[in-house]
Amino acid sequence: MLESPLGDADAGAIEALLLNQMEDFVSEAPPYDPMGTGSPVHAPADVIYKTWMTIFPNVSHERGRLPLFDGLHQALKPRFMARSMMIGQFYNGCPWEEGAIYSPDFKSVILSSPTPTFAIRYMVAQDHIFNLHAEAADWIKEAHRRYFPTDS
Amino acid sequence: MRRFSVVEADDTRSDRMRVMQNWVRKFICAVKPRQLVVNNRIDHMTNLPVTQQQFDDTDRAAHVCPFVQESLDRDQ
Repeated sequence: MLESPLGDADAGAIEALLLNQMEDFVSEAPPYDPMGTGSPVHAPADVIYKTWMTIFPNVSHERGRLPLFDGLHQALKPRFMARSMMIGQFYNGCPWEEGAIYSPDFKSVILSSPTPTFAIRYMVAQDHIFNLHAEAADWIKEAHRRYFPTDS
Repeated sequence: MRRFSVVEADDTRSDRMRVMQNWVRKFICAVKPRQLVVNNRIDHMTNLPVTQQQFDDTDRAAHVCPFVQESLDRDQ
């Protein structure tokens, strides 16, 4: 876990930080580059538990939508998916229409973390049900189909 | 990037980090009835639907996120 000093006016720096993490993530133990395996959405069991979380306590936020994070997430997720990785955003009130797929009553709760946070990890087979879920944002479905056409 | 357990044991970690780590342990690594995972979610370890018994036992397959407790145990 990492605590970043970046704040409200640092969108570009946050984006750069997360893109750098994407590169570093694959080389940190256990090293694994999913795009070299031929099976990019089925990472081996010994690496799928590697996860990095970066919290941003200097991003001002109490509850509800956080446009800074929403914009970064939308910009970065296709780039992470192209590397067979996932980036998740968490903040108080973060919506996730496709998240609580068994319980619409729960979908505004799951990503509601106490501090704005981004997490990165490898993509796993179970992500299909989120990326291609009926309520997933169109840009997520498009990104998934673009990078994993045989999955759709 | 610092390991979760290292940060957790660091007396100088910030309050915001402490609260966030507690949220991971107490919310993400817990079962929530409203999530309705029983008979719906497929347990990635067994490829079978999560059972009521797993939920009652607070098995990690029934956690809010079924991967995080294993990740913490492996401390990656």
